Amino acid sequence: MAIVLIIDDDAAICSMLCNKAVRLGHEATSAQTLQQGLAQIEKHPCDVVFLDVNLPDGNGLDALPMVRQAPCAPEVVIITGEGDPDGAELAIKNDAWDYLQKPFSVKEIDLILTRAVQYRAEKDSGSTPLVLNRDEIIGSSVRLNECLERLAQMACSDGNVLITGETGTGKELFARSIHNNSHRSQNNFVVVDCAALPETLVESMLFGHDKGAFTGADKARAGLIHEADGGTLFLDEIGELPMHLQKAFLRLLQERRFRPLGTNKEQTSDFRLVAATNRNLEHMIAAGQFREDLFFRIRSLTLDLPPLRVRKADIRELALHYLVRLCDRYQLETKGVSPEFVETLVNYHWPGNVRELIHTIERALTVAGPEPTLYPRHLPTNIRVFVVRETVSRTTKPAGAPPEPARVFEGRLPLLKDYRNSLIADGEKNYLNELMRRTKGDIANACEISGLGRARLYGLMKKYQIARPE
Amino acid sequence: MVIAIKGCVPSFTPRRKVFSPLAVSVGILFEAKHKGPDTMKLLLYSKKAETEDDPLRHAIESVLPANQIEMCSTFEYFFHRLHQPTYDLMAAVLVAENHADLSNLVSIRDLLADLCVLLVLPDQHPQTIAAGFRLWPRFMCEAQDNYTDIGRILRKLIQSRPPSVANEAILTPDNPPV
Repeated sequence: MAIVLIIDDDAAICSMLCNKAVRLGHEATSAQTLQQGLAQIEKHPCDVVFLDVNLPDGNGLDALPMVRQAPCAPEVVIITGEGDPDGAELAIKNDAWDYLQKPFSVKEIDLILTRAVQYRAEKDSGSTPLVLNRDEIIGSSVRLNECLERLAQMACSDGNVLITGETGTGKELFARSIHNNSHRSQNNFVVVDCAALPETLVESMLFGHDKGAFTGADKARAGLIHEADGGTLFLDEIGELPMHLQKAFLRLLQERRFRPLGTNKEQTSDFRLVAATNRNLEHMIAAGQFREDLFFRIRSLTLDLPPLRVRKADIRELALHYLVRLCDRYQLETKGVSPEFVETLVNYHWPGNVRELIHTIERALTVAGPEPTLYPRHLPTNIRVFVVRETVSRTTKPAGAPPEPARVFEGRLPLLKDYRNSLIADGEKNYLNELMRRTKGDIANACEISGLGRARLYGLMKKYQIARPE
Repeated sequence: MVIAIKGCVPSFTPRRKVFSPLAVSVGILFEAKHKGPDTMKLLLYSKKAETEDDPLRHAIESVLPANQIEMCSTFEYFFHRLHQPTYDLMAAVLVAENHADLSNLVSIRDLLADLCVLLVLPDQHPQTIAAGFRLWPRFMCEAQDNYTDIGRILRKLIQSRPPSVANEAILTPDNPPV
């Protein structure tokens, strides 16, 4: 028996779904507002949630991540009277079980509910606890636990892994952990940093070479692929792998054979590939910068590491862990932290993720010197300014901020299309301003970070009259 | 008063007289606090670091000015240096002179985990290479090599280094210490 919750302001829908769930042998409750629903999930864990999109106090799609991140992590079926492809896409991307448009048939509900309950039952019965060496992976948030669960599955398998995530989210740490928890852990973990190696060096480094294979090859050298035999080959920043090498690497993955430069003899290597990137490979494929066939080959298993800002629950634990570790490293008495210090850390958005957090703690220790307790004043100014601005903007409406929905809707309701476009325009403008600030007007860097082409970026800057900083 | 640490070629001179390990750390942290914004540096661990005609040193100095290279010519000083803030280090070039030296480095690999390590091994024996991989290096070569590749990698590291968001929050001139 499963516990089903229906969150919908339409009492008739609630009643119909409740009856259906009870007839299928489950326990069912309902809530008419989002707030009530969220409170109920918190108090009474449930297995499946039917979540309406348009609720009196909020949007179900916006609340979907919150519902999924509840400790019981229920399966969520989005129900809506006004289905639209964008909403459906958003729902699936946010891990909804299904997206249903009203009116729906009883048979449809029956099938979806049965499948969702069946999936959870199988998942629970199959989840034999694995002993996982977490290495330095710190945190206990729902998002991180999901990643650890994936990590455990990956460690048990031998498929190619693609780890994605923003810079500083710990891609290499997870890659090492996959290796350390796998049956290959006694063999080499070989790092190939595609971003650090010059293009002319990558090929000979990867495949190895014979003496005299090229100018400067004064002796034969085994390649990293050979060294990874029996172990793990970690291809960091795979998006930077030159096109001609992508082809050679694809062949290697297909045939597990390679030929060192300057030799005719093929060699074999039994390595496990773990690749990582902070770039959007799908965009790169569309731009002709990455081979689609290689992409499909490397992503047998995927792990998308969440940015720190979406796992704020871990910030305190991370901060305290690294504080103790760094104090120990610097041979200092462990310092205390004020609640405001932690609060400031939690309220910052951490564009550089965990790496930035560690550097910030290191920096705060340096600034504090012999002082026994860390206060917000020991943090870099930009972090304090950001947090203070955020706090102030929550209480006062800054000039130029988008109008609040309630005020927009006071008069005549605008067309949804117009309202949506105005929000998109505001969002794009804010994003581009921030992009220019961070890249200090470096267009190449801005294109890389945003995933935009040069022409498109210039077009948008012109549209919103954004100038490059001096 | 200058604190002389054997084997140390200091990149900055501590100005305070300090005695205990704790005081040393605090003193160094105090120094770091008052140094202000800094440029990224390279840490070089090599027994020959102080030798003027060391080819590796030449290869590195062809890419980076001397004042951006911190040299440690003894393992003790290198170990000591890793107990100071490392956020201003863009990479570390480590020369394992022999197997014992390599074992020493492997024994402190947790202190090196966050650094971009370029490693020079004493030989190409499979066991030596396997030990080298335990330091998660971004590049490995042998002592007999001509080090031009290290220079090329360092050049690429410097050229491709974007004003990283992680460091931007910490080290830019518009973000001075409080």
